[in-house]
Amino acid sequence: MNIKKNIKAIYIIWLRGIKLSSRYKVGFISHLGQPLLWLLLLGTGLRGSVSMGSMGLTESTGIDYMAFMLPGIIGMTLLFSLMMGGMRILWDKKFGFLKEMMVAPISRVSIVLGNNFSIATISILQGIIIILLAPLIGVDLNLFYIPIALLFILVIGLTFTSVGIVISTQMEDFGSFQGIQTFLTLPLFLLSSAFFPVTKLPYPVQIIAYFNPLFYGVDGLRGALIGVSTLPMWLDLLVVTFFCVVLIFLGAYLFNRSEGI
Amino acid sequence: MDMNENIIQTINLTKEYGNIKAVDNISLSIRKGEIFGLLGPNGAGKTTLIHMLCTILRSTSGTALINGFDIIKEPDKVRKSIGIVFQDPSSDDDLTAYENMEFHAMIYDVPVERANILELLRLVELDDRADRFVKTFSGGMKRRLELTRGLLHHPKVLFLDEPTLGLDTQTRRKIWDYIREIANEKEMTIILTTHYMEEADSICDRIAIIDEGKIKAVGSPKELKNDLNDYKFIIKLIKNYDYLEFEKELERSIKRREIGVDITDVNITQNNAGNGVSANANEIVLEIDLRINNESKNSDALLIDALISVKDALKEFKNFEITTIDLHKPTLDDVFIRYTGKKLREERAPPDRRLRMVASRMTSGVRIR
Repeated sequence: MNIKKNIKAIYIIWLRGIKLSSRYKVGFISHLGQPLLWLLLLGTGLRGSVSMGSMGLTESTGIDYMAFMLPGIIGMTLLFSLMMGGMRILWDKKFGFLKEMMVAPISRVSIVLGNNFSIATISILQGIIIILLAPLIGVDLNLFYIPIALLFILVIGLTFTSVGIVISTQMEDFGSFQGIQTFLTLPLFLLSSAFFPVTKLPYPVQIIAYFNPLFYGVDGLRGALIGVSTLPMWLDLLVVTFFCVVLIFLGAYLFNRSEGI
Repeated sequence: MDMNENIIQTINLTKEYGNIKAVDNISLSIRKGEIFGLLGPNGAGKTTLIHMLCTILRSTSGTALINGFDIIKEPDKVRKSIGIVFQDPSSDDDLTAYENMEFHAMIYDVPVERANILELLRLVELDDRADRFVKTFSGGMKRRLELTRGLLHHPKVLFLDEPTLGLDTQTRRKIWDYIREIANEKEMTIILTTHYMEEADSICDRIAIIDEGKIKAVGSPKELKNDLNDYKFIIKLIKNYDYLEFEKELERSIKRREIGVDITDVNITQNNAGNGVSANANEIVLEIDLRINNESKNSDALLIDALISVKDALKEFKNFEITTIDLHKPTLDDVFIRYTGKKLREERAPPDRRLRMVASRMTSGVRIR
């Protein structure tokens, strides 16, 4: 099948996804609002009480807890793409639209990628909104590195949408999907260095964190936005891109194989 | 038969789920331009068969050619050649009717203007709702939308899986009229499944009866019915006479005669219920089951001969008045029961359908008054 045709199919599926998302304004706002509440309430509360020295950062960098948390909060927003990716597939399966797509002369991979990109697009929008809000809450960002940050946001968004799609291909109903999603989200988030550096964790738990794509995502975002990261930014980008590509292909493979329609 | 005439050819098509063969080694040819019906009880394998043909379900073994393309090797070309209306809704509730059509046009690479889509929607009387969300549509409206959507890319073959299930009579009629119209105009091949026997009878050129994953019989509705050879005379008469004696004599008299066909059963019952004709008259119902084993094509002539013989038998008696003579010819329902051994799983049918089926059986006999 030729590439041009596939790209067009991806675009059509993407466009439909964007239309759907634009109609779920409540979802958009709540997926943005919840992380922002964390940032505003927890961030403000801890701003004065957490010593940045104990976070492994020298006081001289001028970074306060709010600034430390902001990339993590973007990561939290991006975690919602896991749910959105899975729900999109399950929803289409349940309400039949998946059949319309499956019987159309387009590749299965383009269905997965189209949905993937449309959800990642929404994630990027949310990431941009948080970045735009940063000055209002007194966080100075590296303007120069914002394109790099957006790249991280895109890759993280695609990664977690794919995780959602991978899980959804193995599930038949919303209930079990939500169960798994809830179960996964918390450790993914807490082991991402969003609230505290993973180096503060016991060594065995740290090892687990190194298998968490969100850790590299948040670390990279932090490097891009506030200039502080545990690993070099290029390594973060490399690893998270690796996760992203593997998961996209896994999602496409499993989706192609599934017959649950 | 010339392969070019067959737009669909299945070759040992099989689908297994564990030990269960949902579709069992089906080899079936469907001719170009015909309306082909798949009839079978629930769970017979009709939908599985259709899902394999439209490439959303992989076969366990065997394959099929549609419009010359192999469903396994060239699914993409098969998908371009077919349109389908699924049994369950398959439109996007959160898009409008127009957007659903637009999506379909884009994904099938059919260039359309808004006016084209509105025109198609007008055919199914949905043009005034083009910009409404599909979630506000009734079941019948969704079905109509999906029907017109399935035709948007000018498919060579249209699959309709229970296109009228659960719809009211008026909507059903409209949908069948529309299907007939497009089949005529566009020379499209239509493969449909339905639970409604009389609808299948009136619309299908040919029918396959499928049960337990196997094809039990294929032919035109007429052929299938004729093959059954089972007929029945139902003669109602009013007689002021000793019923028991009459019954015995009449049965003897009928059975004695050479009437050219086999009498498989004679059944005489007395209907005491007030019949409105005469308060003290008893209505007697005489049912004669016949089977024409003769190879003769002209079964009607034989039936008329048989009726004359019955009349002669009745002539031996006096003082009776015939109210009606019905000839019950085999219906598709009878064919269905013969090949599947079951009525359309009526126990599962909603009550309205059960009533309707009874009603259809009551009126399906040819009445010669």
